[in-house]
Amino acid sequence: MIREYLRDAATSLIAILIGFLVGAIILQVAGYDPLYIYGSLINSAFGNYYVTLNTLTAMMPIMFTGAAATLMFKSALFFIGMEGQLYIGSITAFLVGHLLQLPAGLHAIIAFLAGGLGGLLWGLVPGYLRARFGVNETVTAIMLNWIAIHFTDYITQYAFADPKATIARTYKILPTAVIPKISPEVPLSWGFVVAVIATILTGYLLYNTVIGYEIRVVGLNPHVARVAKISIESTYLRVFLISGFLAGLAGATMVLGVFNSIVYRFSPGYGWDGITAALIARNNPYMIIPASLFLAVLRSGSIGMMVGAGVSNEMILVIQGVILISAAVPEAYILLARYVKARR
Amino acid sequence: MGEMVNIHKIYPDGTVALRGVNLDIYEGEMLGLLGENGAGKTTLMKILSGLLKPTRGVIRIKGKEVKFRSPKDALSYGIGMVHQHFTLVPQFTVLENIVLGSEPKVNKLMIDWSRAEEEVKELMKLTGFKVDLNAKVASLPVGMKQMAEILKVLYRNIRLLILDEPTSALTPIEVKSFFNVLRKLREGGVTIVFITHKIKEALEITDRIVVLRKGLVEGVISTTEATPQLLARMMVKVETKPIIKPEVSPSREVLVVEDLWVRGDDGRYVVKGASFCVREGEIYGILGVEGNGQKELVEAIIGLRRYDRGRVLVRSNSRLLAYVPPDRTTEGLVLEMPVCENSILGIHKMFTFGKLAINTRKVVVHANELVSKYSIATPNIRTPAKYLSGGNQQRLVIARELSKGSDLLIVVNPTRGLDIASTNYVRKLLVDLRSNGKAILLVTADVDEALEISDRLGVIYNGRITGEDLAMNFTEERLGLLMGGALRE
Repeated sequence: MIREYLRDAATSLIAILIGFLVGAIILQVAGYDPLYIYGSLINSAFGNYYVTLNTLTAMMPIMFTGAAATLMFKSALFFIGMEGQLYIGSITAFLVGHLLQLPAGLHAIIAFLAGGLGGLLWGLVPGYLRARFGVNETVTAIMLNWIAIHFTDYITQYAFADPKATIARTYKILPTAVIPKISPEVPLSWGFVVAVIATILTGYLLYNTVIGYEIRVVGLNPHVARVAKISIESTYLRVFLISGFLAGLAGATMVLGVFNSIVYRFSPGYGWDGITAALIARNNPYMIIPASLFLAVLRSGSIGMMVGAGVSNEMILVIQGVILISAAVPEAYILLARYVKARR
Repeated sequence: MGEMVNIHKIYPDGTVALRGVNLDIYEGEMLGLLGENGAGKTTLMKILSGLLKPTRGVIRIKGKEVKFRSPKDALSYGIGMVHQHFTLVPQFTVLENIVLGSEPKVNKLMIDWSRAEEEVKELMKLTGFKVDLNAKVASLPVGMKQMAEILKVLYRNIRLLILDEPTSALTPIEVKSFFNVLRKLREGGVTIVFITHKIKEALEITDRIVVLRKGLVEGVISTTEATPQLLARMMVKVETKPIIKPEVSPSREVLVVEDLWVRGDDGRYVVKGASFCVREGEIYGILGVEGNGQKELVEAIIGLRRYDRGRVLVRSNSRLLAYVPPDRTTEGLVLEMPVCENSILGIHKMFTFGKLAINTRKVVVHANELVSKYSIATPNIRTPAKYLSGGNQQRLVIARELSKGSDLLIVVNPTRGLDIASTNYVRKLLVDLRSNGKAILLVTADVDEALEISDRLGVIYNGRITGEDLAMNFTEERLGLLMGGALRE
């Protein structure tokens, strides 16, 4: 078991290195100095106290969505609706944080859980359709993503738009609902700690509980599950609910711990990053933590590449794409094979 | 027109399917290829149609030696095969399915549908087939699908048509009209090879019958000279003696199945009023060629399939049913999971703290117990099940099922694909369990196995138990007739 983990980790590391190498070649050909540019990437991710905090903050939602994606992939479902669930989670967290009046602390907890509940509800529809009627979850995910994103636009730009704000965002939540910072010296939201715990709990759920055992059996071999009287339908439904809850929390941490409001299109694709993180982590929930760190570095470091090294935004996207694709290829291949097998 | 000489076939997993088969096919004849499961009929014809390569041996067509690398090569010699399972695209129309892969084209780009339709209509006129070309395949009854399947092969200018158990999904009325079509085809000069395990059909439709048994030709006979008894004796030869079993007088009925009717996946009845019982301290064998309703019968008994009529009664002290499925790799085990996790499959809810978290220590103890009790050879209990040999995988499945503590054990083809040592171990284990009072339902397609360890035996044909007796009372001829459907007691 340990050896397999190490092998998986090594595979991912090598894949990432290959990605950087190919990226370097592209940069060289385009006339940049790859070493200098990668240096500025690291520098802008960890160069000083504040950028390091930024990196860790970006890591926070990716851990949640990464855990959510891992659950899906473990059960051989290819659901990619975390982005939508994240936005719905941000709305429900915001509504509770903005409209309800509760004592400090409790308010934050309730608002946070409300965020998870929002994501869960957004997973209920595709989950029920998949479990009961076999409706393809990938298709419903894409549709629901857009509904969620545009509905959030309606919230941020119209229904709860703060007219005094300089950027497009909603009103602020009540101070009682704000997730506090770890300490004045480390102005990182406690949401970060919760994200780490949630990721580890996902691992515990998968490997040490009856539900997790059933999820893995269904994902690996639905025929066996049927013979062993494990209900495939209810397992799918459970996965959708738990995964949706986690993805909803991703939105809630951003609203309650970072912006204290919903900023227009605040997610640069954290839902998608979760999918990538799950792939890089080779579907191992514990590996989600380093994988999401890696993605956060790419996210926050790209600003540094752009500003510091003068690389065009498009070029950065190309380099990011190359690195991400090569990092995700090994697991994506396995996953696809399993998905095809499960559908047969 | 065709000749196969000294054909051997060993599959990559070591299974020997053919052991030196010689076969002549004469121009314009309807040749019956008769045999029970594992005789090698389908393998032989898959070789002739280019789907499989022989390990050794020569194929000659019209005196010329040929080597087929794919079905396409065989098609170019006018040889085409209709497989037992449909290969049609359900969402496509009949016409689209028929021309699929060899569509007539305009300017090499566009499909010439009007020409395709003309050609297929011409073909239907020639053969007497009547299928609605514009109907979606999914909406057709099974008999029509069969016609479409054959048209699809004929459309490729076939001179030698191979049919693999073509009547297995048809109703008696459909069979009748299907046979008329085949006769018309033969009159049109098409040579036909008809693979079947049904004696009656072989006698009814063919000109000549070749009987295969265990990868060898057992006999060749002109149909006019054949009798059901003769064919039955050729099909079935018992090569083992029953294992000596201690005398147990079976008493309590543990499993009672009464007049059970079960539908198959396509909605037709495949179990048609099966009745039998399994008593404490006996092995009740259900023997039959595969596809006679065994799968659905077992699924109905273990509760995976609904039944429309009849009754299944299990009198066991445990609510869990011990069931060893026919395919350990797809239904018995999760190959990627370690031995310990496989050892609790289906009973995993009993290894918990407070119903939610799995008690790993308890699982480890349980797995170690099974491994030592049934001498399962595995590096350790954390080894994924896929690294175990077939025999040890099967031991693991049986061990786990026995740990459920049920009075009834249902095993389906328990020794398929196992080596001799593992086969003997499994059979002896089953006999020991029976002698200790377990009721065992053994469903198998292996005549030797059924006779070797069963106390009582029922032969299943076309969804019914057509003959039941003490295992030692069956002669080869009687078994052959029952399995071939030429006898109903």
